[in-house]
Amino acid sequence: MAQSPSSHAAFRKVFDENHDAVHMFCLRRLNVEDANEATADVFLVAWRRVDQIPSDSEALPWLYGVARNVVRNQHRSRNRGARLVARLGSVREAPPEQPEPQIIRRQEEAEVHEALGRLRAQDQELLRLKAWEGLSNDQIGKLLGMSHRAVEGRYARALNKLSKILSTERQVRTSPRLAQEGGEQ
Amino acid sequence: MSKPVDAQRRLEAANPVVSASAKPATAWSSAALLEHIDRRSGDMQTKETPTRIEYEPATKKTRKPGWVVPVLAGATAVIAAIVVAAVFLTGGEESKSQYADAAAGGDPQAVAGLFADSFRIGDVDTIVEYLHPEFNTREFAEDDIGLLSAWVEFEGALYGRDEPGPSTCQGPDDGWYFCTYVSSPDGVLASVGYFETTWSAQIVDGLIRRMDVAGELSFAGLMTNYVINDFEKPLGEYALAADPDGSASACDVLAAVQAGDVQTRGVGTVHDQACGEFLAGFVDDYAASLGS
Repeated sequence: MAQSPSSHAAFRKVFDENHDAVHMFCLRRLNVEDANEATADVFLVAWRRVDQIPSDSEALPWLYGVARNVVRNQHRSRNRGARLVARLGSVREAPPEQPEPQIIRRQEEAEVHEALGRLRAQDQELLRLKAWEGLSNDQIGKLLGMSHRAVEGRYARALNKLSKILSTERQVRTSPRLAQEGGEQ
Repeated sequence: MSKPVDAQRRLEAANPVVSASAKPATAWSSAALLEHIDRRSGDMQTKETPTRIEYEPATKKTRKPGWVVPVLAGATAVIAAIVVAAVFLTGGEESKSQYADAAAGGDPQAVAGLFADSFRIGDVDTIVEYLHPEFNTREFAEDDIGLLSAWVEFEGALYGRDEPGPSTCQGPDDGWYFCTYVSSPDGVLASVGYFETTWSAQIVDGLIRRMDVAGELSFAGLMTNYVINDFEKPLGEYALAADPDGSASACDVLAAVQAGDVQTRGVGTVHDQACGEFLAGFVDDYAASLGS
């Protein structure tokens, strides 16, 4: 690394304080191998722009902003052969961001991830940032380019949609059994 | 009936990695991460990035769907606006490239060299001069980077020229010209992401008709993804809804540069009426969607 000792020290501070959080951010959205690479990519950006990283508590949201783009780049690179994302002609949703299947531990979690994947990409991200990364509306707003009030409203609507999807899926799962039970009576 | 509060609880419980101790066993340690970063940063501080320049002697005519046109026109107009802003911001700064005369004669290698030189010093005016009238439009529906990467790189011309480096070109080699230039480590785009530039370009009739990112996307994809996911896709959806028969195809890039009213990203103005109206509708919808 060819930067000054002070830059190096600043980078190490940012790395030491935030690498776990950034790594988890990536692991929540990518398979492990890609998450490892993506985390390294995020800190490579941080290394190059160490003098631009906000101090203390603002550093992590800044890193999340970079990570968000890196993660999307990983998804896009992986699916580049199919060229789904970039074709304006297709106007299709990007493939849902998903962590490693093995680390989704229970059926309950799988259902939530599946339901989450059916929301708009930005709504998915908003819910993740709030529920998993624990960011404030203000921090999410900065990341997604909207006001904290807009985040608040959008979060409520996204959560409502998620709730409806989960509710519908539960009904679909239970109705065949109910139907069967009804037939046996 | 599930309630939002239940959904929130379930969502929180579905966090696949709740703490650092819950990371999968194959997740890299902090030492492994540092080693990887150190190795890559060492490579990237000084490396020259290859640029692949393809010379295509004949123009292929391909048919694109009608709706693509307004989308391209809109996106291209945004590029044009950025270009205009770039020209304004650079204050017409120019320095004559060694390739200028030969490029004017249509030599593709010289055009490649001129582009590299112009990009290096941020001379967007010259770059625009060497854009083919069909710049990036015909292949766009077939190529997933195309126009968007050009946008990224034009922004690079705005923000990323702090460390100019040498540019050299070799070729042709099996129809391709290879150029190198030092990518700027200071490319800054919209506060997130860093990009390094690896180009692939077609030169037709002495003009640059197409550019995209070749090889590993690396950080070049960061902003591209922003453009695709957060801007281009909504723009495509808007185009389908607002102009299903492609009547806005009269939108012309140069006319858009020369006339019009739509403020674009705060850096430029688009003035063609058709383009202006088209983009104005989109900008309003887009702004509303962001604020909703």
